[in-house]
Amino acid sequence: MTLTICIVAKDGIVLASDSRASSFLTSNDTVKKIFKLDDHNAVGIAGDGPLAMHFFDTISSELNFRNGVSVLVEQMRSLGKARFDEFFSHQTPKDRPSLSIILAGYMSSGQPEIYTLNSNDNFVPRKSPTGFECIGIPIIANYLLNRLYEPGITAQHAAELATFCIKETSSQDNRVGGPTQIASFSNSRQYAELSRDEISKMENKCDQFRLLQKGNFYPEDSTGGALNPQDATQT
Amino acid sequence: MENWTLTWTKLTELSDSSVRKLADNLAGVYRFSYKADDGSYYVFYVGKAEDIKKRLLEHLSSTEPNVCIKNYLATKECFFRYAKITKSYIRDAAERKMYKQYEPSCNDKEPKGRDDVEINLT
Repeated sequence: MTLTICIVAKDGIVLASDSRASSFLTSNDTVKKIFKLDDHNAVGIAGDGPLAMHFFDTISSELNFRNGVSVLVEQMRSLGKARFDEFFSHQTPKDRPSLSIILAGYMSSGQPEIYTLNSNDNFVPRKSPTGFECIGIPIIANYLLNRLYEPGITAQHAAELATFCIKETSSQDNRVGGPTQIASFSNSRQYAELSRDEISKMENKCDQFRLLQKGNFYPEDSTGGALNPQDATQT
Repeated sequence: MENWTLTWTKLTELSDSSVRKLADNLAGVYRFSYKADDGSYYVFYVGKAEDIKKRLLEHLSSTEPNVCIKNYLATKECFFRYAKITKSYIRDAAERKMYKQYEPSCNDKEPKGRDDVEINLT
């Protein structure tokens, strides 16, 4: 399974994902889930990874990036529906593989937008009202982003926040894991993927974050304790 | 699984004068807590030392590098308690167990130590 997150920051858009593909018995931590469409538009996926890679290979040449992300998402809807109907004409819609997509980019006005589309829902686009979206296994990440996201966040810190959400989810759900992948871009800055070294630094920083002060649930006993120290004894 | 019983001292005000009353060369583990508005004492740092008195005085000095500890000391009523542990690997295990129990806000690294040692924290 997957966790893919997109966050709109004040100076760009950040896409992040884990890299795990898991089945009933096995998992693989090398799956790419974030894809550049052009310098200022990108997608993240959850679901059938190999299918997504082929899907974007076949439709990318047909996409027109000049009129903003709201036009792009409509192209993706119609191409997605047509391709899936063609690919899986032998299957009823409910039996087809599932593919969730986050599309992030800029309107022609320069406004950043995120859309989500799902193959099980005919690729009907949904525009994010919150400034962030999560697909795959989103529950923990949605909770954290609802608590921690503010539109004034910088792209640098949005990348850290996304990393934190992925790490927290992977600590609770083994369907999410493997190296984190992060990409960032803006309407003036080209799409770029962060290096493994840059992401490792963020992961190390996240290790020091404390979401909840666990100690608040375990206060000291202020009345107990010895007056004189005695060495530890094995019992 | 080894079982070790620690004797924890009473919660004591964390101040230069109270720390100076400790014996020298006392090896063990310690933890810092602050008194919150609700009257409870919450742990914000755990540590180990071969000489607890010397280490605590370092924490209280102006050269303490941990900004988080300095901030608590400057803004809150702080306390400490400790347990004497001569054996080094039991100190490591006790520090690690405290870290996992309290997840103290001023410790920035998970201490290394054995998890297969049963130790009381109270």
